[in-house]
Amino acid sequence: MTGYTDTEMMALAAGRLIKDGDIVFAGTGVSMLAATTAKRIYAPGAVFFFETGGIDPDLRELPMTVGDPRVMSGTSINTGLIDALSLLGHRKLRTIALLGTAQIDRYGNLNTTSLGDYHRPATRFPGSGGACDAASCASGVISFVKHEKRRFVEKLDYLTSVGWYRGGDSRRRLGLPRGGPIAVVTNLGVMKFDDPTKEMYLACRYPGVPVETILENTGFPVDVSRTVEAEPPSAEELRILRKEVDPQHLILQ
Amino acid sequence: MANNNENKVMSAGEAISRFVTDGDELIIGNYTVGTCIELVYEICRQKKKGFTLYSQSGILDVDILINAGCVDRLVTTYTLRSGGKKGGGALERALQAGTVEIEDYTNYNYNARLVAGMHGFSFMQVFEGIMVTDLFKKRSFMGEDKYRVITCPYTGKNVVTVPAANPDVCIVHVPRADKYGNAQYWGSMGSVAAAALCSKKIIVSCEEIVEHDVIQSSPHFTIIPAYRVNAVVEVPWGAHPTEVLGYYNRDRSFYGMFMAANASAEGAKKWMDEWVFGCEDRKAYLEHYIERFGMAPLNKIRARAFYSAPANYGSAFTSVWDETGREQTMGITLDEMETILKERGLLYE
Repeated sequence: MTGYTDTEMMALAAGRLIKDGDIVFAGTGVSMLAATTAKRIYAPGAVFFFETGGIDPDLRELPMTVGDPRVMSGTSINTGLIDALSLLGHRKLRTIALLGTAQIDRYGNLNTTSLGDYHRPATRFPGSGGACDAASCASGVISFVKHEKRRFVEKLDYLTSVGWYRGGDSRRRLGLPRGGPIAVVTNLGVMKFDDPTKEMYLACRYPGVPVETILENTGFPVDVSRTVEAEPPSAEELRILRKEVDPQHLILQ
Repeated sequence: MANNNENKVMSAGEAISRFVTDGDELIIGNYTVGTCIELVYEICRQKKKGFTLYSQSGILDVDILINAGCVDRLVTTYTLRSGGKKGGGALERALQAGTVEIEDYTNYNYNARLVAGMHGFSFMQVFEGIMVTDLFKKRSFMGEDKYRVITCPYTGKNVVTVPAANPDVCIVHVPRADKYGNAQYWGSMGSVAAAALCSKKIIVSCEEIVEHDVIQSSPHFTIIPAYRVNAVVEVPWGAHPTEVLGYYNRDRSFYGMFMAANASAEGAKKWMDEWVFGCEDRKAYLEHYIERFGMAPLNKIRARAFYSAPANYGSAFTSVWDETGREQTMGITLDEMETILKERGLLYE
């Protein structure tokens, strides 16, 4: 790749999926960058909210964490977590959750808790936080993950957040009438989910990334018959991302 | 018991020694946005131990208390991997060694336990999607009581519930409070009020103690009323290196220093000896910080003021009776009103 970084492409690829009118639940890191990018470029009319209770900040500057003052000053409402999450589950709103993950399976189920035995873990990740709640009640989930075989796995070490569960209509049968993963944005491409199997397929690869590279880095087979090459970032997208969204390169490297 | 008009101002040392007991269920009132770091340090310094610790989002608090050997059990939804990629930090080490047991919840589920607790309910319903996750299936010291499934009396469907939490003591840092303990908080509200109000005792630390009339002119910021509070501790920079809206931002480089140190047990011990055990109180901690790094890093993270518009609490009059004894809206006296009511047969005598 030339002229832009993986993180830039990920933020833009995710930002392109957000529409005006969406209510977007964002966390820390790349999801914060994607949120700020979307607000600047693709969806100025989207409302961004954080489970700590800061809703509709102007995002003039990129917040670094959900505890950042920029998440809660200049907002339309500052409320608490229970109230914020009631908005996420509102049936009439299109609410999108942006979630990072350590492991993901072919149905978009996520593990952000641990590797190995839960009680005596080989690696302990932070845990659910609001991820499981968001994955249960938002109308769609976009997840971010580095494209590596150890992250795209056949079987999760721990199921933290439900995606399409075991595919087909299994999610609905769990008592989750709506929602489910929309897309998985990685450093190599964007995966989406098939109907009606709900299995992950490769929707697009980033410019210059061979399909084989993606297959080699995915721990289960994926359909690549519909894969297209993503639009490279335009000069204008890169200008806004670098000069306006993250001029100090706090998240962009 | 807490009292409404008693001056409860005391040092962090006195508050912790009077109201925190070995073996307590201890809850961190703050959630992700800053935390009550000085109160956490003081618990470590007093070598309190055997806690069942509740922390919804462990940022520094959980790892520091585990490093000091204070924690037996942890109830959490999220604990920052504060050793970074190199090592998971104190929690990961303690789980691997089997010295700390953990129960994981989601944010909503954890918060529901506090809300049930503050209302005096025994449980609260949560979303049933949790049932297929390992949060529901994998259980530690709470066993069957982590989640229970009951039949909804209205719909006949299975619903999932979480038990109420009523910790022995809550420690919480707020921007300002009065000497009685009326504690004010603003910004993202998280679960701060519920964490305090579901607890049996509450220790409040604050950036500044203000006069009671400041509270009376802005009661919409009060999240904990004085009559629930046991101790008030004034401690400027009391959340450092985490943030307090309106006072200071997170000290990112100092935070990074902790994360690097916390990647190994040796590094963590050295850091604890220097910054927690090596400083007898927050004043000594700040002096040590300034000695090491100067004032510049602190000045850099001080908040620039961005005041909220004041709310108008005024009304047309304070008494319904004017100076001549006439009711303000109708313009009649009490005697005249009674006469009218009597004529209409509406006066109860």
